[in-house]
Amino acid sequence: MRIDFPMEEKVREIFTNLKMSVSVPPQAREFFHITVTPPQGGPILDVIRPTNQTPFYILGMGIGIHQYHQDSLRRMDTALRKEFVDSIKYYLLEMGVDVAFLPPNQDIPQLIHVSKLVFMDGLTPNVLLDVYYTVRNAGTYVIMRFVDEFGATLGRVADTKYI
Amino acid sequence: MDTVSIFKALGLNVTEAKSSEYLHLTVSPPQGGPTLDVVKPERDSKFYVLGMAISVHQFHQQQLRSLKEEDRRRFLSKLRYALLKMGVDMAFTPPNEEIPQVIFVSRVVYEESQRLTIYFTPCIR
Repeated sequence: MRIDFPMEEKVREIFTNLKMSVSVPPQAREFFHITVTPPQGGPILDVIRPTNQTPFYILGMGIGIHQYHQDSLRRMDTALRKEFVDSIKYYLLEMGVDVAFLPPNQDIPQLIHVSKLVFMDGLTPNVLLDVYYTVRNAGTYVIMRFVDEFGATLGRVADTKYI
Repeated sequence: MDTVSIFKALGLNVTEAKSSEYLHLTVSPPQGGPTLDVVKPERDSKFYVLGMAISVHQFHQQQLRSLKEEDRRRFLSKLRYALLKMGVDMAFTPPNEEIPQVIFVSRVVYEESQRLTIYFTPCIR
């Protein structure tokens, strides 16, 4: 996908100026969709504008829950598991992000998606950066909670998936 | 207003640190207290990094060491979660060790506050 819209080009620049790597996921179908990663690797964020009529960007991070962590959750006592999952939810709400535990209404999440919208109108680099920090930290929090509770998994702890 | 004046206007002490960066200021309140580093890495960098390094006192390192492993983990985790909520970058050094010697918190801010051009307005109106 070629990006030849001035606003989108600016958004991309805001991240590349910070030496982050920006790429377009091959499966993207939206009007604008980039993934942003810190230079040394780490959390992968999606920046999406669904259609050219959408007046906002969605900054989102999907944390795929590792099979090992899902199994650990399954082995937990029901009440304790609910407490653990709910405590993550509440903290994420305090962090000011939208939260989706997927699949919905299940005890064991396979994917936790955190996101935040930012309107294009009057957008400044620092406002975008604020939203970036909020979403990235919320996603990092989810990863840390699982690692702290059940230990690190071999290989990748979490995987950002496309939604 | 240039960077130095901003902090001076707030009555803060500003000194230029010797370093390889294009600009590296240390900023602290006149009555003493937290020292912040303000860094512009290169001349054409469009951002500043505001950072603060907290070295954990030897006494506190010992206290951490004397805690039960579980309690120590819980203490450090709580600290990490709170820092995440505060919207900063953080680094515990040495990494992957039980007892941190230095905790570094930082935040990047853009120099320009100009709005991104809006070429598109129809559906906002």
